[in-house]
Amino acid sequence: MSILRRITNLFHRSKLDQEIEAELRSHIEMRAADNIAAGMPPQEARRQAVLRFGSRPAMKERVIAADVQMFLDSLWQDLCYGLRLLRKSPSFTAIAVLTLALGIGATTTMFSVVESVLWRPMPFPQSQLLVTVESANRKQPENYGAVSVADYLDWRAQNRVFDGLAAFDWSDGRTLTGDGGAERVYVMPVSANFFETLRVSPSIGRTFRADEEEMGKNRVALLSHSLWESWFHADGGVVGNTISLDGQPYTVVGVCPASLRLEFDPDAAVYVPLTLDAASSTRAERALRVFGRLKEGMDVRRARTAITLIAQRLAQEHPKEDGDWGVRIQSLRDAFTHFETATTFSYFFLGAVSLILLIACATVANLQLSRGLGRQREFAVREALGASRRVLTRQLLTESFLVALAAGLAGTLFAFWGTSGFSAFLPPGTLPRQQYISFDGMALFFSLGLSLVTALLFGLAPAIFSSRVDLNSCLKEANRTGAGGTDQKRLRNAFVIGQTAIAFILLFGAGLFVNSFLRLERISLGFRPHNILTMQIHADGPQYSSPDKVILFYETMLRQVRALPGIRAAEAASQVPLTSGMDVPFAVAGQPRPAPGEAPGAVVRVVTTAYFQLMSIPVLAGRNFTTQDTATAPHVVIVNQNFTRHFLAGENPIGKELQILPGSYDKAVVLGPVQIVGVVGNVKEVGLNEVGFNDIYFPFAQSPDSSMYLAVSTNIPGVVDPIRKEVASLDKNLPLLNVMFMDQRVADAFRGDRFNVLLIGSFAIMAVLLASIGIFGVASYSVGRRTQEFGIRMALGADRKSILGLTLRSAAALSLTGLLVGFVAALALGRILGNRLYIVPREHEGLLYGVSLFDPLTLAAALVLLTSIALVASYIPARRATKVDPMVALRHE
Amino acid sequence: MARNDLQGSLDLLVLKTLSQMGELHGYGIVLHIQRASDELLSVEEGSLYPALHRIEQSGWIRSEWKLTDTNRKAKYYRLTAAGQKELRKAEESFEQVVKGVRAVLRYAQG
Repeated sequence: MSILRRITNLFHRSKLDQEIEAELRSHIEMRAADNIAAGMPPQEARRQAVLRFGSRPAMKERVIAADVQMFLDSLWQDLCYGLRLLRKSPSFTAIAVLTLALGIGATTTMFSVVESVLWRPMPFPQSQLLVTVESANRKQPENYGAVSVADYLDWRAQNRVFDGLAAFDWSDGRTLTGDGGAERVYVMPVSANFFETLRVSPSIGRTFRADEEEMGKNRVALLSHSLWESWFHADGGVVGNTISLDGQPYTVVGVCPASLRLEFDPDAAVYVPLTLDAASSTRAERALRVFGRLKEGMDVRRARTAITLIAQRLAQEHPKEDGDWGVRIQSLRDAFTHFETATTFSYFFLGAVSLILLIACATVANLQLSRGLGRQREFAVREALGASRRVLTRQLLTESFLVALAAGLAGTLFAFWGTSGFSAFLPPGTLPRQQYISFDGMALFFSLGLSLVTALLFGLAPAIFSSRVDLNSCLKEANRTGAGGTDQKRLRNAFVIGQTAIAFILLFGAGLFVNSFLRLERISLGFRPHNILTMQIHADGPQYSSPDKVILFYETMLRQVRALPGIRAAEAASQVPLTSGMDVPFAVAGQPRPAPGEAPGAVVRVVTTAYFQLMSIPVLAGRNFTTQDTATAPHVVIVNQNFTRHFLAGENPIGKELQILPGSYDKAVVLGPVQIVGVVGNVKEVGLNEVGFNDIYFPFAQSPDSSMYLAVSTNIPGVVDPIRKEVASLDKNLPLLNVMFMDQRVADAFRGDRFNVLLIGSFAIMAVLLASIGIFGVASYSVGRRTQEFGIRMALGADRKSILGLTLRSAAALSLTGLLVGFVAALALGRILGNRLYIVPREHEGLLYGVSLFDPLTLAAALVLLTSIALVASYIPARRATKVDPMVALRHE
Repeated sequence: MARNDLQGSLDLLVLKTLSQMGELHGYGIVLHIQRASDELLSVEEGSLYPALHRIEQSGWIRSEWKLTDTNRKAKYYRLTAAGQKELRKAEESFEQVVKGVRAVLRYAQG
């Protein structure tokens, strides 16, 4: 029976149809001719002949159904036979299934992560129509993103391509107070059409009205479902209630549905109307995020053309602010997930893990081949009894599919666990929307699809080669060493070479990550993190409405805290190292004034006078802040080394004047002219592996920030309770947030890199393990086959050492070839990757730090390590060769 | 694989016809069965072709387009070696069925 023909029948129905049709026609004609001969009128004769068939289409269907039925029957037979055989060799089955399951599981886990993070649509109806619209500077390709209020309002009023163009600002922490006490919540300002554009309707109440975007009418709020449950105990009559944010009352107008998942700003708990007053800010102040829903049938290209036209008109009307600015449109999902760090991380590790799958396939293919050799007599006998080669090939492929299916199921299970394990261990902030990583239908589909692909990968070659049996040589008992054939040997060797090469690449890659990590550990932080406890306080609310009140509050608090036992010093800073920060735009006096919106930015740090001593940040030039730098004294700042290198290269920074420009920075830093009085060392602001930031430090007395970190020098963790009591004595509504020793922040900063090392390290271990199984397998097989030869050699006087050398040499040749291939491939990969694994200007972290992709030391280490592993893997079977008793070996046949 | 059902007996009739007559087309098979059974059996033409197709796919018969005596193109079927073997098996199993059915009928009457 020809399974192939039957499958082709299924796919070539039209040809089959024609053939049946022709056969039926001839049948009907013959019957009609007989009818006529029997005396019927021709027309009646034909009608009778046709009638006897009943419905012809139905009959054709039955012919085809017969095909399908038989296909299933024979498939079932093969499956049963395959299962029986696999059950007969449980160790082969177990090893093959486990190896593949690991490969499939690991690959599917990474796929599932990447799919969750990068590819999954955002959870809104018809989300493929949602696109972000961003202002993009035509002269500075890195300068794009936020949109000014006036530009947004013009786009919204003039476009005809969007079914709603919405705007929002990132959520920001505010203090929610009420009967339930005080709580820090994230509040997100959104345009009135925000929810409608996302196609989200509130579960209670309403969303915002258009007039609530106006000043004076904007004190209304929508609650997230979880805040409604925790704060209002899921009270259905919540609409009309008042909540207080930073002491200002807001009327609740609605509650968001529990299903709302705002993946690009998941922390938002309260939504308030965005105040859209074109007069309150200039077109150069770009702070809004804008996205729209394309009208049905509209595509991104046409929308881009339409909005670009509007932007060009605005650029002509407002050449000063909008002259250099165009628009950038991309899908909402891509805009908020396809960050370069995320895509690099995702694709790098997805690529690495698929290498493991390849090794696993090669391992199982090799196992199949050696098993095929063992089964050659079985095949020879069966072929002699009349089974065709196609039947044997099919049998082997069916077995492979069975193995792959079992591995696919086990791998799916591994991936299911792996995905949740991965997201549990993934350090926070590594990937966008990482809290939503989950194993879903796509991953399941991928996993099962992958097992089919692997079945072909590892099953096809053995199936073809093993069924190619040389009947004569095989059935002649004496000629056993001839079985196998050079083709097969070459194939097996190729597999081993490939495995070794891939293992080398992964081992080298892991070496690079370890190397990079060791360098990171030696990195200079720029401050001493030991025994410094930090915590954040947000002094928001009506009682802190004036700068004086903020200063009074913090100074009183610092004084009281310093008086506590066990505290050596206490200072405050708007942000401490490794907590990131905000940019403020500035201009250097005496240098050409930048166009609005194109001014360089520097990270803002507002600090109290002895902050640098507390953190051990060295003052390299000029002076520190002093108590004389009061609100009424001349405005001064201190910059860091990076700042002077970038903006004041070759000049004496001390005494230079800067202009602090208005920007999206909502903190209370002084604007206008400030004088540089000192230079301090650089510190790590976001992560260890970052592009150095330019910092400007402002004295707290001149730029009192309501939100500050308290930093105390102490070695007593329990001191936080008395501090909390002191703060509560001043204001019982101020929670202490982010309480953490600086040592802990440093340790956290290492988590991402440690995770990467562990990830690629485990990949490398799997790869090396599988490759050594491969080398071991080939070596033991060749030793087994040459037993007789060794016997003769030893009988002729060869000693054990030369036999050992003989076997080791052939194994070593294989693994060395593999290493060479891997070496070349690793260098080629390094060239392809270029600088992708390192920090890029807009981002502040990379996968690797301070180590070259061609690092000779790491290359050498990987070579030595893998060579020794390969030698051990081939030594064990080689030693067995030397134990051959010549007499036994010769009598063997 | 012999089946103790009507489909099985149609297969048997087709195989037997071809073994007796050598080469025949579908219509010829219908006529032969009718004639040989003294008009007792008439093959339903709608069932014949699915059966022929299935039997051919099983490798028991082979087909070939040829011209009839009256110069018409028709598909001729002939038995293969595997078909011969299958026929023997089918005959045996049919005998069993007939015996079995007869035994039951006799039991019911007695």
